[in-house]
Amino acid sequence: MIKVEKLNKTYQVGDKKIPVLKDISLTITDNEFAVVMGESGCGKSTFLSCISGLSEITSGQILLDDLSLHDKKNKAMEEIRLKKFGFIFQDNYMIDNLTVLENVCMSRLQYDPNAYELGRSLLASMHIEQLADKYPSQVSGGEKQRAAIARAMINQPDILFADEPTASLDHRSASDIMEIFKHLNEQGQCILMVTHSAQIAAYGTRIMIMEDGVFYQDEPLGKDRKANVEKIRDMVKDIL
Amino acid sequence: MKLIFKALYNKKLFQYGILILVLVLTVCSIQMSATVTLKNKTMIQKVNAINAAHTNIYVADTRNLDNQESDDDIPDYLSRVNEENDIDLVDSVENTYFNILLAQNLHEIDVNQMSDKQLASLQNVYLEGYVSHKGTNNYKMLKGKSYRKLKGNEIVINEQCARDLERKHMKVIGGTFYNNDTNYRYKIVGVYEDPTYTEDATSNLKDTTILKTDLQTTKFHALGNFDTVKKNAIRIEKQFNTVELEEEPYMLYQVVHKIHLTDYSVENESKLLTLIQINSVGANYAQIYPLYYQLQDDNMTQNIFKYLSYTLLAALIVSDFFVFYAFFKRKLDEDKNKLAMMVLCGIKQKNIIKAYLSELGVLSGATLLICAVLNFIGCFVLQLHKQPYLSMFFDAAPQLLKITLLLALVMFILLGIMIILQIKHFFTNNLTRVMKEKDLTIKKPPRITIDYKRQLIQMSLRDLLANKFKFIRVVFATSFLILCMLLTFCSYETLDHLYNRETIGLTFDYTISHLNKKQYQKLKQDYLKDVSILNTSTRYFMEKTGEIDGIDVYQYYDAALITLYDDVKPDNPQTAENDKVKQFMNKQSGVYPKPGVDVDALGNLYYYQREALLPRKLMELKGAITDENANAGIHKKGLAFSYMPFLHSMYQQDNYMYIKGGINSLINNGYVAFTAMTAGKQLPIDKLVLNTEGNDIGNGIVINLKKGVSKKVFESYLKKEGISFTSYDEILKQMAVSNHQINRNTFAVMTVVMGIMILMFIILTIANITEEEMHKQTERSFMIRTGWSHSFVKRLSLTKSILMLMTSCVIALLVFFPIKWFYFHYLFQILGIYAISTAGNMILLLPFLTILVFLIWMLILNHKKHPS
Repeated sequence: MIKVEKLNKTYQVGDKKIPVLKDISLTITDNEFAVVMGESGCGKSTFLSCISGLSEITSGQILLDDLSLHDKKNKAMEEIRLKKFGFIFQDNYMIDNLTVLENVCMSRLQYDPNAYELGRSLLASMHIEQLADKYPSQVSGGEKQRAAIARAMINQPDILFADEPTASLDHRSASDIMEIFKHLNEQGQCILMVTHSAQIAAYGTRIMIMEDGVFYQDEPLGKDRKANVEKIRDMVKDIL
Repeated sequence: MKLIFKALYNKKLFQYGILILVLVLTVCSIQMSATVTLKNKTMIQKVNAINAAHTNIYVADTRNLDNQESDDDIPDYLSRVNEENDIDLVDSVENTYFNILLAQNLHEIDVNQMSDKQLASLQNVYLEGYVSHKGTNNYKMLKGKSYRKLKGNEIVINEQCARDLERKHMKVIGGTFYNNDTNYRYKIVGVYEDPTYTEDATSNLKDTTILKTDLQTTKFHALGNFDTVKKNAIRIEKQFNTVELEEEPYMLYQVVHKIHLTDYSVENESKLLTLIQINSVGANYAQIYPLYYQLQDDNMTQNIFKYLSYTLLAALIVSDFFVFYAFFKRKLDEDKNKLAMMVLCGIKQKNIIKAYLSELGVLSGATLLICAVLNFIGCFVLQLHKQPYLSMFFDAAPQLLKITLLLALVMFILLGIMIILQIKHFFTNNLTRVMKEKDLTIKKPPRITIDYKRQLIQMSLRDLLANKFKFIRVVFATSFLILCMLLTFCSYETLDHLYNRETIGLTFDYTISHLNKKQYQKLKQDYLKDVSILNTSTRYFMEKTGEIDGIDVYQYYDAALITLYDDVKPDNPQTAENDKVKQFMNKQSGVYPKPGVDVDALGNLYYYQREALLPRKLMELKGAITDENANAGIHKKGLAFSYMPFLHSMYQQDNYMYIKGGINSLINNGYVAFTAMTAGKQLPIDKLVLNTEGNDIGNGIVINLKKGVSKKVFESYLKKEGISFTSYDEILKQMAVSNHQINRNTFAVMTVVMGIMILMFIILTIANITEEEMHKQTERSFMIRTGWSHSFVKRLSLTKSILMLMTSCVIALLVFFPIKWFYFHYLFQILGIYAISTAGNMILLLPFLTILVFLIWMLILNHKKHPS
């Protein structure tokens, strides 16, 4: 569970302070699939990097299972990134000179000699087990993104951060990826995703709309995806 | 870990090659600096290694010693020292000494066809019969037959002598030497290494063609068969000296004591010599050649080399760090996405750092391997450490290699630390930016307006100022290298123009000789303003280095004493200043010495209360002071300065020479003193007529022309009269030529040093440009995609590089001027002079000045256009 209390993030330009995140407080529970939406520059990515410990915060607290994230030293953060967080981005950043399986298993191999077995089973669950020994340049964008999800899941993280994971994919591939996310969530995986698309956001269980550094709407979503899309469109019609 | 290495590995052989080259140069430079710094120590070690003598004491005639009953002679005293163990342990060997002077291959060359220069370059060689006791003097043979197996007229020569023959394209092995007196020939069958002589005999700026001093102990030695040398020495003795038939030849009474100190140090050697002089009667008849003479001799050249090697090392180390910084910056830029993803996936930073450090490890390993191979080739194939000059820079003694390795490891560790900091900094600042291709830090852009006309330069400036840290980093590294190059060039220029009016110490119009009384009177009447006779003799400068039971211990410096003989009374005897001295010498400090007399009214030699001017080398380097007080010679700073013969004699107590002031002079390596004398009974004019020594300054006449006398007319008169003369300019020219010859190897080394610096400069510039290109790759391709022309984008990069280079030049120049002052202060101290007229060729600075003007103009123009 991640708990955010009065989170503020400010940038300093000369003598001027520019607030990006303002007094944000929220909780994301273990089984949630929370989706953040908002217009460009509203602070979504900054929120994601703060909450995942990538950026320093100006004030407030982020608690991961009741332990403050920003008090942690580098080494502890590394451990958290390794075992508790998983990241997926719009660009999959696969390492070209490693095979798909090596890309997936690289981090787990640091502590688990049987990482490859888990990696193969993950690839199988993403339906790309046949690509295990291929290099990233030999596979398609959608396949790479699936591999990226497998890479994010290899350490069985507590929470999966996804920053516009389907932005560079076609509709079909995007749907496939979101189905995987949905499946993972149904199995108990907590996901925090940033997106611009209501269609994509509709896969979530909770929608949070951000504007000007503040979540001004935070609603649960139902299981009916069409209704979710309508609901989300309704929520964001004034800002998007 | 294997996967992490694999993920971060990029095949960039060229870049790795450049980095290895830079590291190899640096490690070589460390070795060079260590060699130069510890050379004296290694010379001592080399002497110790072959168990050779540190101190040689020659006693010409031991017969007188036998008559002494009360005192110890030298061997007795030395055995007593050994027993009592007063100063460490002294191992003394008494060798029967047969010294024969040989001339180099003269019988093979027609002397009449040799030029003056060639004749002057001929060096005498001392041949001695070799006897080794107690395993001493285990000389290492470099070529040919061992000195232990010599037969008949076979000899082995030392390495310095062999190299001299090689330089003159004469035969070494199989060549012959010749003794003028006996017509006896000696065949060279081998070459041995003599660790006490590592340089050419002509080095150290002791210009024997200018000053005839008998100070120089030759560095050319030969060892012969004991019986043959003894037989020939006796033959010479009998032939040229009146020896009673029943009397043993004089030679047989000559003895050389070769002393080996177990724990050698200059202080210990000085102490021992002092004790020998005090406690043994034999010292009064002995000539002493301590090892520290050899160590002193190298002083100036070694200091210049030290300066050069340190400058090069500093330039290389700074370049190393910046080149590596640029390389890893570029590499991190290339790997940024990989790295960010790896960190976000939970790859530990420690493992990523390990992967990068392993790259440095491989580079360092390759560097050390190459250096080891170079050392092997240098030592065992090329034998560079045995080359007289190169040995000053290159030696592979185990101690030097250990130090080099240690310092190299320290450098690698520092480079590693820099890389770690770089990676950590990258992680702190780049992770989020990388993932979103978005800069989450907001920078304040520099306020430079971009207009149509000057957009290229203005965009470049804005780009540079936007990343101030990088700009400063690149400019600092480049300007440091330029500064090092400028300073090295300045040293080159200074050394190249070393001899000039300010540094000789003597100024005059001509030296003349071979004239009779009538000619002299005519000259004096019609042409000459000032005339003086110069005479040179040997004196020892002594410095107090300690005390043993209230007895002062001195270290001695062999020096030339140049005396100016006045032929007229001083204009004002009350001022006690010698007007002639003033005309010929530019005093730097203190007062001119009072003229003394060398012969008193009874015709006896008269030494009392002589005064002298000293060059900076003696005045300053040894902490001497100028004392204007009548009691000069009373010392300050606890040091005693005076001139006296090294050997104790009946005159020793009264033979001090009071220091009255300082003078700029390089003659005799700065170990020189100038004094003034008025002749007593012997008139100068008689000396003039008697002088047939040639037209050199030593034992010659120096003159200044009257005002208005045309040089052309004067010279044509001298030619008509058959009087030989040399103009001052001609002497300067000869000195410059001779200096160039003496320092040719130093100049070669300087050129190499400059070459390496230029290479480093090119590597650094390329590294910076490629780093910049990598960093701006996306921006540049975006510019091209959005319609900027290729040439504009290229010109933009070029303009940025030029601007950085120009700024570096300007900063280097601005720093150069104040640093130059300190630099010359140091260089003058090394050379032992106060000033030099040609302090570097300023033409080199012109391009830098042009750049400075251009930059100022550009800034003014920009300011005018955008005053806000």
